[in-house]
Amino acid sequence: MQKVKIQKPLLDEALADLHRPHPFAAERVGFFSTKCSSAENTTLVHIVAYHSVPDEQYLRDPSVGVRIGPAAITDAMARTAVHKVGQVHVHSHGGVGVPSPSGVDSAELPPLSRSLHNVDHGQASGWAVLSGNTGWSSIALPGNSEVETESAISVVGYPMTIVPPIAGRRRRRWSWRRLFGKWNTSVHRFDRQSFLGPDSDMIFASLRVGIVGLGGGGSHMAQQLAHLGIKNFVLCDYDIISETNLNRTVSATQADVRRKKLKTAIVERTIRALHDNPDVVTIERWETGEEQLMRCDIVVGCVDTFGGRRDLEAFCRRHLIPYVDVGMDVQQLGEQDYEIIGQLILSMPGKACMHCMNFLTDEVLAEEARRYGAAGGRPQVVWSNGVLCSAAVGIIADLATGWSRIGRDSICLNFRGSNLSLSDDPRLRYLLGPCPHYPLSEAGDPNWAPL
Amino acid sequence: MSFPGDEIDELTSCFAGLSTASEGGTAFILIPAMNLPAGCDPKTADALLCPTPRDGYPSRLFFSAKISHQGPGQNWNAAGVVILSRQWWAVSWKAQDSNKRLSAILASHLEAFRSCKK
Amino acid sequence: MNPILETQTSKTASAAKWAASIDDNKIAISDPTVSEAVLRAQAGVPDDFVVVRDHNSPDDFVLKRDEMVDLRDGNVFYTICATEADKRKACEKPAKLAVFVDDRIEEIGKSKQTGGSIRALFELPGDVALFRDLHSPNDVPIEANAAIDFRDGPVFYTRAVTLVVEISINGRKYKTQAGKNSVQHLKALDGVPTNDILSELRGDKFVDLRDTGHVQVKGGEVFVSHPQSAGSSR
Repeated sequence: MQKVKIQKPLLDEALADLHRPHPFAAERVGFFSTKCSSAENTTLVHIVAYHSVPDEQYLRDPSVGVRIGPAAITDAMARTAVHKVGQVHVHSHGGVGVPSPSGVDSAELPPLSRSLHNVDHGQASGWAVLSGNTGWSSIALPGNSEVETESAISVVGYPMTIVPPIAGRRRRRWSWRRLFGKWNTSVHRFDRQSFLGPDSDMIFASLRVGIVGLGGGGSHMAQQLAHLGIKNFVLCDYDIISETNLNRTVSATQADVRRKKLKTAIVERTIRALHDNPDVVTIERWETGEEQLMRCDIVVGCVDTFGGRRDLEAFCRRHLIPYVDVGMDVQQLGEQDYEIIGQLILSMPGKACMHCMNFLTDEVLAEEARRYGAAGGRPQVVWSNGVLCSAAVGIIADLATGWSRIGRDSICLNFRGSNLSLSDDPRLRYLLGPCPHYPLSEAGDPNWAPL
Repeated sequence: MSFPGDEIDELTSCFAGLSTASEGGTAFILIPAMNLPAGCDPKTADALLCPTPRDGYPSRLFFSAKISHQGPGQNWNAAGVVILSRQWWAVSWKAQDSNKRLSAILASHLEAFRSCKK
Repeated sequence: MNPILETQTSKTASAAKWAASIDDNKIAISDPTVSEAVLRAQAGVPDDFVVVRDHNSPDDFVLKRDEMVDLRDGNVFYTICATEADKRKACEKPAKLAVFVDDRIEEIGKSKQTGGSIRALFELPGDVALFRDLHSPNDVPIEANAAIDFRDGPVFYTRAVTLVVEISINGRKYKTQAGKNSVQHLKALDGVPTNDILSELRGDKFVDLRDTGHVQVKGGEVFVSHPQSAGSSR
């Protein structure tokens, strides 16, 4: 399985350059640099930079939209050799939706693509065509010099453009409906949420969501996401249900406690009750099931520890996956005085992370380490989890469909249980620049520099 | 983050194949197949040194596997954590000399695995 | 063929050639056992001179007329006037040994050497191979770590060798001769299409090579071919 991903700001940067007029060429081209995340059966190709081709490197050829000469080609080859990145030739066909290559593209670009890949077979190189909101690519993956795999390009941004990983040459312009054809849920089921967009139900059906932690938060998330129409899940939890979980774990029953049922099994049951043939993968620990989690479009963290959140966010940033974090706690303010606090965070690749938001700090991580990370036995209630998780589902729905038409970079909402308020963290408005903790250059497999 | 050249030279004179990578703003040093103190099982393991504060420790030393040993560091409070796309294990151990040279930090961490028996 | 002759022929065929150094001149000898008369004749020694085997001693061994001498015991000689050849004691020091590579002569301290020590003694460059001169035509090159015994024959010669090195073309490894390589040859190695350009990685840049040109190859060079241009259209 392979996916090609680009962050929305980078797509916008490329399109802005590609749509500039050229002194004599009808179109422009550029090159993307790529890095990969690889697992046994999964390769994610991350587009990490865009390179404009200087005007003087174009050749006059009125028979095609644009032609570049040897200098542009050898510059791209040199970037691979020197910086250990793949190179993808890119130009734009305009419009929206997944484009198809033209006859000229299909004739001229594969030989160039092979040359780019021949510089370093350990990188992903090829060619791509963009539209206004996504793209199509033909890329030779690391280690595979003979076969180029065709993929649509998923755009990581708010909203996302999610395209399922499908190989095979397409000669027609893609359409969501053609992509899925008939599906076996009733066409009336999602009528009441049609305001989310004409393709929203199919977008949800193609989305893959990972949920780490299936207690009070994760069980809520899974149930609501399944109702929304999401049917592809990666569920991570090693725990079995217990009596003390029943006050908040949605869908768990007394019979489940007696039978010592796994939390993953309970959630899977909920999903399967709502969908025929959902794709549900259950793993005990995400650390040993990285490949499954890598394949997700969105990951939700409902974990108990700050260290766990840090590691999960780092994983998601490496693989350019938006990460939604949900958590609550009860603070004792006085002898009989309590307050429920919680947070809902959207950590978007390229934008403010949980370190930027000051949610993860050396102090909280140190304090947690002093307590040896013990989080068991802390107070939890169903309605706070419900408020936070419902809001998280709303964020996911907006992230996938863009129905609200409100563009956001990151989200950090603070919950206060005593007055049932969910409000923007005021610090977020000051976090405008790119995240310094997770630069795009560190996406993909780690860059080990010899010492 | 770049490390002082002389401190790196000191480490490379003891260990082959050193490399560095960053994650989340923290730089790590990878020491492949490091020979562990006597009495450890396995005898070698990949080691990942974090010479800057992490998890409340002034520095941390992670290993590619949990190590059986007779030293004082017996509390494995990092079990299979994912850093730089691999799983790592570490004991709870506050290394001395964390403001000093990389080799001193590393040596201090290895004290956790040295048997006190004579 | 007469069996005796056949034996002689085969014996001669694998035997090494010999030589003696007489007054620092190389005198080729076919057999290590040779008479003083042959040495005298080959070296053109006057009648009133004697041939002396050099032991680097005041008691160097004066060869009698027609005496048989084994060059394996020492092959360095000099001549002196017969009147200066006073009576000497039996010489206890070993005789000097001389090794010949092409037309050069060097003395060696001990009979057992290696290919590497001979190469070092004669300062042979890396692009020549060392051969022991045999009567047979099938001389075999001597590796640096091969053992050489003076008693097996002291005559050697050198021949230029072709160094074969490894290069990379389009990510694949190929072997080629070190030195001047035509671009056409390199393209042919990987089957690069005629119209494509072959480019060489030099430092941090790829440099396009002319099809009619040549490159100096030392080993390790990286070449990648690419089309001359690339067109695209909406």
